Amino acid sequence: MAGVANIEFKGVCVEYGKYVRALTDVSFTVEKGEFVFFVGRTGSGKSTILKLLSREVQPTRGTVLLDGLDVSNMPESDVPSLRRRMGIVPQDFGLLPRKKAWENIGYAMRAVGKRRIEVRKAIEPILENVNLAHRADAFPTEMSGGEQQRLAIARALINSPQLILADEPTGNLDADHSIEIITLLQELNQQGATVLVATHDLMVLEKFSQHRVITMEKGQISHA
Amino acid sequence: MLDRLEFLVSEAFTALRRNTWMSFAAITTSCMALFLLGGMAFAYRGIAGYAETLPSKLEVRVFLVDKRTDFETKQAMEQIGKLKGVRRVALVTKAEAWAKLQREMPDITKGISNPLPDAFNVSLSDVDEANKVATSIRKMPIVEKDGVKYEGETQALLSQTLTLLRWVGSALGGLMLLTSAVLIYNAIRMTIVARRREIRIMSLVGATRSTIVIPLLIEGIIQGAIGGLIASFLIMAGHQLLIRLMANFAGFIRVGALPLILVFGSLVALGALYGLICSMFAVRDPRGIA
Repeated sequence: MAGVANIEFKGVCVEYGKYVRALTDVSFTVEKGEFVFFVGRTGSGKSTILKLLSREVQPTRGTVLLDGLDVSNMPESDVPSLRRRMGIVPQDFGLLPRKKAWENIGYAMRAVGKRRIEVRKAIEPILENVNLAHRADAFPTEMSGGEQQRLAIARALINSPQLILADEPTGNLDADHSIEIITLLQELNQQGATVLVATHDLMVLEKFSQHRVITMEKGQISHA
Repeated sequence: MLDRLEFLVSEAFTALRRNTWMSFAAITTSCMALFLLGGMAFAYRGIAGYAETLPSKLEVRVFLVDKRTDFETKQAMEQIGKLKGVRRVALVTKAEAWAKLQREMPDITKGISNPLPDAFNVSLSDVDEANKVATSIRKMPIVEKDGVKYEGETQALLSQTLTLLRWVGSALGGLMLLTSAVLIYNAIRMTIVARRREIRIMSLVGATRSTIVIPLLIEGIIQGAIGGLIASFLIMAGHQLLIRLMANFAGFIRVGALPLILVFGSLVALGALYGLICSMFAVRDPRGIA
């Protein structure tokens, strides 16, 4: 996973309507290859930071730069190629229950234009990367929470991303599975990917205290 | 390329399978709309075709007064021949007409003297001009009072029928088209709701808008085309029924042959185009598509 992920937020504000402020004047940088936790209560703005990078949300004011590229002012037509540079792990896993594990990966690959033969070759290494090769034929409903989350991470790897955005990846998991998932993300980080994780799981923060933590409170950075 | 097309088409069929009832509603309504419009169009075409052949069948008979000179007769023939909508004028003398009548109805004409006047047979090239031609001829001095006879009722009936068909077809067909537009639109919106998980995943992994939208457009095209296909079969069945019904009313209007390729081709193409337009409206609003 070679490449550069250099993130810079400059005075970013996000407002929903007149009265709801998700972020207020947020500025920070993340260097390539970093592993960063965004911590805070529900509604503190940590998920919004990840969504700004994937352009699911646009800032009301300020600038979001990824590798020097202004993500906030990017034309809509460039958003798909932006998202192919990152792996997004949503909070709810976002798996297709009627498709097997390998089909979930294959479907995403087909959606980004990969040919059937390319999909066949790529699926096994991707599932091996998240230790799920032995569960390739299982449906998501037959998998544990930890396995489902690993499958969601596997799907995020289909474009060999330089940046991984994980929104509450341990939110639905018990302690053991939470550690397993963060360890997996840590391994991907060691392979070169920049990893940003939004979480409110204090156990995870204690266990992986070697990583940088940015604390959010009421849409502002309270501690970086 | 084929690989990609196969993915997009299979996505469209998956959507059709999942949305069976909404698809069924959209297909049946677009079918009824196309059946009405197509049926009316082909009926109109048939009657208009018949109307075009009518001038050769429709003649104006002009009975002449006895007291006239040959010069007046010749002059009147020239004047009538110059009228708009007139193709030919022929003089039928009372002797010729009586001889013909005697041949056709010997029992009725036996033992009586010839009561018929001399007459002009005026052939028309344009049925719509029949009234004007008749009015102009009536003013001529060598024409008997009430001596102009023609089948004006036939022409008027045809004209009224064509106008009625045009209005009824447009109104009913238009109403059905509007209803099916709403249903196809709703079917596509329902697909977007039913497939929001897939659409969200596609969007998150970086699928282009066209990859997300094309299956939805294909779905609309398929719904419209199937509607057109079923409408073609209905028109074909209706045509057969009409032929059997008209067989009992021999003579006046014959039901012409149905141009099958034109019916199927135009209705399927029209349905597909219609489905495409409706689904384009449905996917235009990006809020429904992640």
